[in-house]
Amino acid sequence: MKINKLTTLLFASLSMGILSSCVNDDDTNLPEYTPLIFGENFSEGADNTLFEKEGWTNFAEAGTVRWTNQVFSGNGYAEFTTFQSGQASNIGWLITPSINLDAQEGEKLVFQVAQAFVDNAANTIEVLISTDYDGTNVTAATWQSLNATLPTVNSVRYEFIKSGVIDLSRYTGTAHIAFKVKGNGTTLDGTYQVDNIRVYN
Amino acid sequence: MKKLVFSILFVLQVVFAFAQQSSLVKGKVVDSKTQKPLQNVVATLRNTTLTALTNSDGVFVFENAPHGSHILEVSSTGYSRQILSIDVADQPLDLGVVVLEEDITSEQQLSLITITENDLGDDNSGSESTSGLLQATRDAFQQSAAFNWGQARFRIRGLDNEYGTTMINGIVMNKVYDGRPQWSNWGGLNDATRNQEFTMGSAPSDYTFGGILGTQEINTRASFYRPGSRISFSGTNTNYSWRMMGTHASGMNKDGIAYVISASRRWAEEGYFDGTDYSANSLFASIEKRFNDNHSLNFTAIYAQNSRGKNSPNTDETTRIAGEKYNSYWGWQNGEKRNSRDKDVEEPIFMLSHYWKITEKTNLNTNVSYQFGEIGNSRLDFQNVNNPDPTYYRNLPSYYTSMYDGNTFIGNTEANLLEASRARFLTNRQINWDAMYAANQRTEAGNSVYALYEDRTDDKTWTANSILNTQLSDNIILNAGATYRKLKSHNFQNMLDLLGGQYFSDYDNFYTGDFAQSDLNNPNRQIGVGDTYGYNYNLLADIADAFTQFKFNYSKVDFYLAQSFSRSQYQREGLYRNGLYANNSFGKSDKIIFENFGFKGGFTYKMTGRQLFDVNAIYMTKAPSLRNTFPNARLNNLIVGDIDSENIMSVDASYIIRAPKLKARLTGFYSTIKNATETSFFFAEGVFEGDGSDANAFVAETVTNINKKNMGVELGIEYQIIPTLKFTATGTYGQYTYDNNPNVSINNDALAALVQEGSATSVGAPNTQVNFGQASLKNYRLPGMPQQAYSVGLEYRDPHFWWIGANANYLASNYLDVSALLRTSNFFENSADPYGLDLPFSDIDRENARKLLKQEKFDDFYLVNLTGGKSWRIDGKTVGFFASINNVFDQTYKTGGFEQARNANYQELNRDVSSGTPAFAPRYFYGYGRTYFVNLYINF
Repeated sequence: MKINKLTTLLFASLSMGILSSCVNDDDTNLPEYTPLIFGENFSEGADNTLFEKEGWTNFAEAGTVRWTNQVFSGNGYAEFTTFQSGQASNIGWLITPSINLDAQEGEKLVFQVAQAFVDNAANTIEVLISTDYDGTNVTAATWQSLNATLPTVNSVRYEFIKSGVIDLSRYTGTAHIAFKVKGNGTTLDGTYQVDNIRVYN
Repeated sequence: MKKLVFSILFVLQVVFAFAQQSSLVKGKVVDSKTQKPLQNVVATLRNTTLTALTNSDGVFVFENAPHGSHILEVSSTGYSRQILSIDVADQPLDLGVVVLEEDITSEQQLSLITITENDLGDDNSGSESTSGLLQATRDAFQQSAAFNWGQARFRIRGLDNEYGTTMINGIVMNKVYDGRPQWSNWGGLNDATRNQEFTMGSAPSDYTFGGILGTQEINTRASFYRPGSRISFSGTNTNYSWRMMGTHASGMNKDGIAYVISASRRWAEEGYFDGTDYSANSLFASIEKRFNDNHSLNFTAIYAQNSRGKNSPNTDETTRIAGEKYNSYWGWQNGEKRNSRDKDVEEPIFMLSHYWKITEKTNLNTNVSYQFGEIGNSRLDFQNVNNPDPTYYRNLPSYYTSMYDGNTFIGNTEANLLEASRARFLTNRQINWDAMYAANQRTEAGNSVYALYEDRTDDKTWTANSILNTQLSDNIILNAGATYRKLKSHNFQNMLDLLGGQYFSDYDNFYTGDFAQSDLNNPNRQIGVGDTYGYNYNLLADIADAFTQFKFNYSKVDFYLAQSFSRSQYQREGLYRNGLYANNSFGKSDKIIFENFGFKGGFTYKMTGRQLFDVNAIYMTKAPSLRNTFPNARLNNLIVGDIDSENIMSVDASYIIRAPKLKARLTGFYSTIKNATETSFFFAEGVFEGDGSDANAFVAETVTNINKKNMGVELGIEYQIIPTLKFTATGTYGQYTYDNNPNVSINNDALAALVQEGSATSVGAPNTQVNFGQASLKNYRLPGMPQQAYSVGLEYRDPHFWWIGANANYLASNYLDVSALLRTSNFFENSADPYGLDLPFSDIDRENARKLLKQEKFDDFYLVNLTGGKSWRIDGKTVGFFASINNVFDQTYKTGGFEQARNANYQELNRDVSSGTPAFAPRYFYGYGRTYFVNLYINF
């Protein structure tokens, strides 16, 4: 009855094989992609409301004007304007949540900025990075300027300009990116708009 | 490799000695009911090449039966087979009277529902993915598969028909185009094609090497038909309403001539689904001339013409509004339902067969066959006007209730809810023929903007084969065969009806200038009825194959070994110089050649006379089908870049009980298909960026390097409780999955225009294949069939020639066909991203993404079927009826469906689905509800 034992063995191994390669309906994988390290489209806030979002800092260093949500033709963006602020100096910071620059290599930053009615070069927007910002005390942190393509007084109004690819690979640790606009209620009363921020690798 | 195959083919042909003793064996066969002798009953000594036919006295004789124990099988169409164990010794053996009983399942075969293909693609695929091998055999499991589960699109081992081999007289009927048999080529000729032999899985066939699903051989040799006539009339409510069929077989007369003729007609004004008309006429003739004991010639002619209206796959939304029987393809015209999607098949077959009995132990059968004819699939064409499809997405309420304005959901606004409540589909559910006629008569130039055309395939196939069957020694049989096939397949667009206009302009309205021309050699043509336009090309194929098979039979164990080699050569020949592909559309393409081989073997170990253990294993490579080789065959000569043969492996093992009361089989199977290529063609909206979401573009998708894994268990038990009552239990648990992440590319004709824009001369062969990379399909289920099926049944057979049967079935694990394109990394890329960096969306919720891409599993369901029949003997004639009711409780169930192939990404799909009323939801096919079949017949 050797053959019968062989038969049993064959059946046993076949059924084991079948059982071990059973798959469940959930044993599938999502298509592969490299997630953004950080991304923001400003698509959630209602038109003309104060920009408030978990992890972000919206800070008025001088004056009381802060960044707002705006929606135009279905597209949301963040805006800072000192038009009719009635204040002698306005400095507004828009600071991203923390971005971990240690988890991967070769980080890059892109974003878009548009201007409207900026007619004085002193009415500036700066893009800064800090690796020691504690999430609350903006001025105590060390901010380093990032070299980006930004709109000038000659740029077409409301036209979003791409920053160009900014290399962040030399920074490490926990970083925050900041958009800092300087203006006032009189001569420097232009508008800046920021959209589509991406950090990727 | 090729050399190795050849050497194995020939080296194994050792010369075997012929030295054995033999004696005479004879018997007489009578009908159980009439006790009259039966003529032309086939008696076979199993595991030998010996067969004998009964004469007009019902007597069969084997002059030289070899000594030893044998199994004698006595069978005839329409009768249950008798199996006798005999011992041949020195004395002649007279078995006396062998009684054959009428086979009730042969009546049941007539009621098999013809499941037509899911008309998924628009590729004019001629063949039908019916459950082809689901015909009657005597295996309880296969009978369940055919009679009980076939209506739910069950497929044995989850395999497509292209992995089985269907033959008529040993001539392979699987189409070269897609590898599937075209059943309607002999549809309606049930009586004339009843003489069939089946094998399952990779078990050996005497006629071919075969594949991993099994083989079906239909024999039309005229002298093999039992003399007599039969007329039947049937009524049903499936795809047709009525059927008439008549058959007459003459038997062999004293001049050595036998003939069989058969004719049938099936028709319906409207089948089960709305607007599906049906008309089929079939004729069959076979005539044999026996010249002497050693030579016979047989000529077979089969003409089956079939025309049917198709039914549409529908979204849940349209089904909710219009019901499961809803069909968007038809519309009223002059008080009649006119279907815009007809399928017409008309491909007659002529076959000349030579039967040569070279010696007592050696037979050679040679056949030459020619098949020609037409397959046409009609549809509507339109230029620069609204899509006439009543289910066009803008006509449906969901178009409004799933709407977004930028990032804002506006599907629930008052305005959109109002629009949804008066969506066009709610009041106009069918095609509006009158409106199309009116539009055609309004054009300034008199041209038709709507027209009805057909995608035509006119094939001409020559086949020649020879099959040798010889007994090499007491224990060894050799089967060998060689086949040559030559196909010329002419494919073109044929104008059927201008719908009231004067002509149709042959240009592609997506493009301008030369790019819009279908044929630069004859530009700007005005098309009339019967004219060819759009595309026009030939596909040419030359296929040669050969196989040898050795079967060894011993008292404890039988085993076999077989090997095959084949060579396939494909070529496309463009008859139009297409404007987009001026340099690679006209004339002949490169030839592409595939060389393939296969090995298989197996054994049956007879533990006792009643218990068997059976194992089969096969490894083979298979050339891709013609259709999967040319990714954009309608327009150019391109060949799929990395196309290669499929690698196929399969093993199965069975434990079989054959006791007088109990017959049972338990089988485990495991097979893998690797490196498969699948092309699909369809019209779709919004597959490419910037083509405008209204563009109804023709899309060719090619998925390469697909691996599939099919495994499971099958069980069939048949138990004769008392002589009149039989219990059956059958079931299968299968798991049929994709086993890797194949590659997806899509042809975008618009790129041809972009690449060549502005250049004075056209570019050689513009690259229009967009590679989307790997699709994450691993562990997704192969779609379109229940992967689990179970059945229990009882059959009572009264001695007074009536019988009744009932069975209950549970079918489960049928899945939706998933879109490969949706499961590429493209899904997460934000195409609206301003940076052009193919960056993913910033707000991807992976759990939500998993939900969106989860494969839909259809609901499980129960089917209860009843059958019964009775027959009478009146004046030497048999009169009988057979009736069945399928799906007694009128269960509604989905048999298949597919995700709409759009180039949707995470954000679009998420929005569409989260609106609650998706505009691009999957489309589904439904099974039949309660159906009946009644057949009245008379045999004389």
